[in-house]
Amino acid sequence: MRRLLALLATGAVASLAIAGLAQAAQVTVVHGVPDLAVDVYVNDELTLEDFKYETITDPLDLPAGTYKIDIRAAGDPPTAKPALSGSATVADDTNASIVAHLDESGKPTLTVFVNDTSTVKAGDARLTVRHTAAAPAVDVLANGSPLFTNLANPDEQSADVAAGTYSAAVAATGTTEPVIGPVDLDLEAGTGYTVYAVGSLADDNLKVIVQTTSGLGGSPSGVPSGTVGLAATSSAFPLWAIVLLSAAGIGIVTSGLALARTRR
Amino acid sequence: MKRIPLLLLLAASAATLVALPSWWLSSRPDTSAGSLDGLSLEGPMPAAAPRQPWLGLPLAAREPRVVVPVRRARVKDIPRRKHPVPISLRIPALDVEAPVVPVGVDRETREMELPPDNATAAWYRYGASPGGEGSAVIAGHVDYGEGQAVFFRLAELEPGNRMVVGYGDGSTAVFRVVARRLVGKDELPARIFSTRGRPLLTLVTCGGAYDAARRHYLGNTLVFAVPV
Repeated sequence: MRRLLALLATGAVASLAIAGLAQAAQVTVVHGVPDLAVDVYVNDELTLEDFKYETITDPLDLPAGTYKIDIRAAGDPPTAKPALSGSATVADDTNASIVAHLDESGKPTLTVFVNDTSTVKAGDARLTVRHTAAAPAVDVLANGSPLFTNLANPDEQSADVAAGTYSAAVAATGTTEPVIGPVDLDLEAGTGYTVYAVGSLADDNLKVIVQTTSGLGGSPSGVPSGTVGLAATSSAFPLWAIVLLSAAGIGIVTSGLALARTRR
Repeated sequence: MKRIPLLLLLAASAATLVALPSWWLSSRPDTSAGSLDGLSLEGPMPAAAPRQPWLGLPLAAREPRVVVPVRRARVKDIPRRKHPVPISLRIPALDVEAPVVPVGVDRETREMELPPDNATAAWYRYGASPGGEGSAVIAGHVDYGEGQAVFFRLAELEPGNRMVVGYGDGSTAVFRVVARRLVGKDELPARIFSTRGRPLLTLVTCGGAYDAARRHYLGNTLVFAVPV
């Protein structure tokens, strides 16, 4: 609530733009501001009521256009001054996440990230980490070694990795002492995992929340299932058949000529 | 020469010319059987699950508000695909009874991995589960090492043949063959690995012509079956 009041005082306004080309956008709303239940108004319409920390919406269809977003403390009347206001322009065929989170200094803000929903190679999962916490730049460690380095609020880094279980941790950049985790992440092939670092280092409440996108999996390039050739079928005409057909042809010609001669 | 033997030679030669090619054409194994009606392997992937309506236009109008689905997003809330794991396959028509092991892909070639033996079939574990949404793939060698392997006679399956999949939890499911196809290796439909669409079990092995120099077949035999 302290942050909410601070916001009311500053009247924070964020201007957001989602890049993209062509009918409907898909939008996921992510709540990453600790201890702040809110009501989300879109074009003055109460759209998300009592939206709590560490929750996200399902992906929602949103017609292309520019939307006014007002966030008020949960239960505040629609006429109350918003804690956070912004406008989001969404273009067609875009998959985006609108994230309410803390900036590096600890003030609530809104950031729009475009989600990469392109196909991953067969057997891979996509891991994306977004720094949306009140903390300096960090490194992301997978199984103890750096996977992403020098990631700062509000940036993201992404990689396609082999499906499997990873011990993931977040450490101040250049160090390996975790400030979040380690946590075991079981990454399934064909799924995108978008991990948000949220909370505040100063308040000692850093943690991660995770958005998943399924159905990204590519297909294997082939099925190598035979090495000997015992089951081979050939479309070539067999040699003995060619010999036999030639003989039959000669037979027709010679017998035909001979018959013609006998007639005379 | 006498007239009769000449006539006989003429008749025999003519008969050979007509019969041999037609016999050859009919003796070649059918490379396809059955209908893929409703199981199209062409075209775009089926659409994703219906999207949630959210902000119906016009936004200004006070229409009944749609409840937006919201869920917890902690690490322990990450959704997982739960599917029964196939562990055995029985095809009575081919006298096949084989264990099934889960496999992934070769990290270099991205080809589906197959167990290095001739008795085991392999289930593509990154795809659908037999009987679940999408096309589950169980592949096996047609031959391996020195001899015939588990799917040596797969191309003999005809529409209507049945097969039984056994799962790790002890349950079983029966599938009925609806179609068989021989496709070039470079024409292997990506759709057979789709995790979306109606339940389909696709059996895959090698087939067609054989390239002895490279020790591999030029095609894949595909058998499509649906839950009974």
